[in-house]
Amino acid sequence: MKDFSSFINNTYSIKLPKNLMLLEDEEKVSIMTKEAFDYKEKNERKGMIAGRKLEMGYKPSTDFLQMFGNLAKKNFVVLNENESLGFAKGENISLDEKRIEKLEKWFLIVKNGEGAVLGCGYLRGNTLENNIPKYRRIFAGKRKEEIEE
Amino acid sequence: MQREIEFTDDFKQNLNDFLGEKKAELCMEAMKKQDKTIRVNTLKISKKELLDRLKNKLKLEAVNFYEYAFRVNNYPKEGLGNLMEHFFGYFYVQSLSSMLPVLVLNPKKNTKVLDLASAPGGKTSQIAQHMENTGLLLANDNNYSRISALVNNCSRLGVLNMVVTKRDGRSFRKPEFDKVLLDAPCSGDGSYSKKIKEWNEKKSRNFGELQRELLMSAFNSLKPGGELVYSTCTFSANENERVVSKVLKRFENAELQRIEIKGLNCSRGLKEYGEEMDKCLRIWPHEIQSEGFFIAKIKKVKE
Repeated sequence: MKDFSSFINNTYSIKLPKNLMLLEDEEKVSIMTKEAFDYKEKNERKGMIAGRKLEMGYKPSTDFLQMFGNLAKKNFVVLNENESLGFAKGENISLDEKRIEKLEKWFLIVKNGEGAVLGCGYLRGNTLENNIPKYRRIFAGKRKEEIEE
Repeated sequence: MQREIEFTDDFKQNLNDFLGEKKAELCMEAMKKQDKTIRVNTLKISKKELLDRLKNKLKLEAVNFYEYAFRVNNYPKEGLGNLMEHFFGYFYVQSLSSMLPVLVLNPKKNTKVLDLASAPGGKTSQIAQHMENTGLLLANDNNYSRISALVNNCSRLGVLNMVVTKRDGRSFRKPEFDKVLLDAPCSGDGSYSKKIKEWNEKKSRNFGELQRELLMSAFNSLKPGGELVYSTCTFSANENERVVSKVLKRFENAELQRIEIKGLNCSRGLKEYGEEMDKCLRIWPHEIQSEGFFIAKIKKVKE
C-alpha cells in the first residue's frame, strides 16, 4: 500500500502543504504541525485524523476533506443545494450516468455548488453512499458544545 | 432566549453580598436571558465570507471588543448547530464571556501553549485560531468523555497544531510553555442553571483547594517571562480572588498583570483579597448579557 500522501495525490490530485506532517499507525493517519509531530511524551491524539487505513488504500476523513478536499482536481462530485443538504443530513444520493462517468469506484470527495467540501461518499453503482459520521451530520441531535460551552 | 433557572436562597444571599439587592436582581434576570453568540473560525473562513454567507439566515450584531464575536439576534428554529456553516466548521457557538480568557491570553504564532483543562474545546480552538494553526497547543483534560467532545469539536474546526493529553492537571511542572490557560473546573454558578441549584459555600471551598493546586501547576509550567490566564465561571471569591492571592503569595516571581479590554463593560476583582486584585476582571451577567466570569493574568518574571 502506498503512503497516504501519494495515495491522495494519485486519487484526488491533492498536494498537501509542505509544513504539515503525517503520522501513521496501524489503523489511521493523522495530520499535524511539525511541533505537534515532534511532541514525545505520552498523549491521546496528535493533530487531526486524516484517514483510516483499508486493505486497498485509505478512506479520507470528513474533517480532513473539509480542510484539504477543495485542492482536489479529480474524483469529486458536485451536488446541488437540495442534494447537499440531504447529504449533510446523512442521506445517500442517486447520480445519473453522466455525473459518474469519469469517477473511480472508490471514496469520492463530495462538494456543494460553492466548492465547499461536505465530506466523503462511496460510489456503488449509481448511488453515492454517505460516509459522514453520524455525530457530524446536521439534525443529528443536540451537540455537545451547545450543552457545555 | 429565556431560560428557566431556580435560584436557591444560598445563591441569592451570596449574590446580594456581592452586588446589593437591586443589582443582584438585575444579574439574575440577565442570567435567564443570556444572548447566544458565535465565534467566527478563521482557520476555515474569513470573517467577511462568513458574514456574506449568513446575511440571509441570521441577524448578527458585532461585538465592539472582539472582532470574531457576534451576537445572534434571531435564533433559528433549526438551531445554530444545524446550519450548514456550522457543519463546515465556519463558526463555533460560544458564550461571549467564555471568549474573553483567550482574548486576554493573546496567544501568538509559532509558540508553545498549554490549555490545562481544555474540554470541550471552545477556548482550545480559539487559541489555535489565534496561533493560526502553528506551533504547539497542548490540550489537556482528565476525563475521557470530555476529551471525546474536545477532539470532535477541534477536528470540525480544523485544528492541526494540537496534542491531546489525559493527565491530572496538577502533574504539570516542566517550565516549557510561553502561555498557559487554566479555565479551571469550578462550582459553575455564573453559568450553569443546574449548578446554581447545587451551589453551596462548602462545595465552593473544596473547588478552591483544587484550583489553587492547578494554578500552581500552571505557573510552574511557564517559561520565565511567560504568562498565564486563570479563569472560572463562578462568582465565588473562594474560587477566584482567594485562589489568585494564595498563589501570588507562594511564588515571589509571580506578578499579577492588569487586564484592560477596550469597550468591555465589566467590574474589577475584590480588593478585600489585596489591593492588586483590582487588576483582575469580574464579568457580571447584567453587564455583558452573558455568563458570569472571573479572569486573572499572571506573569512569571525572570528570577
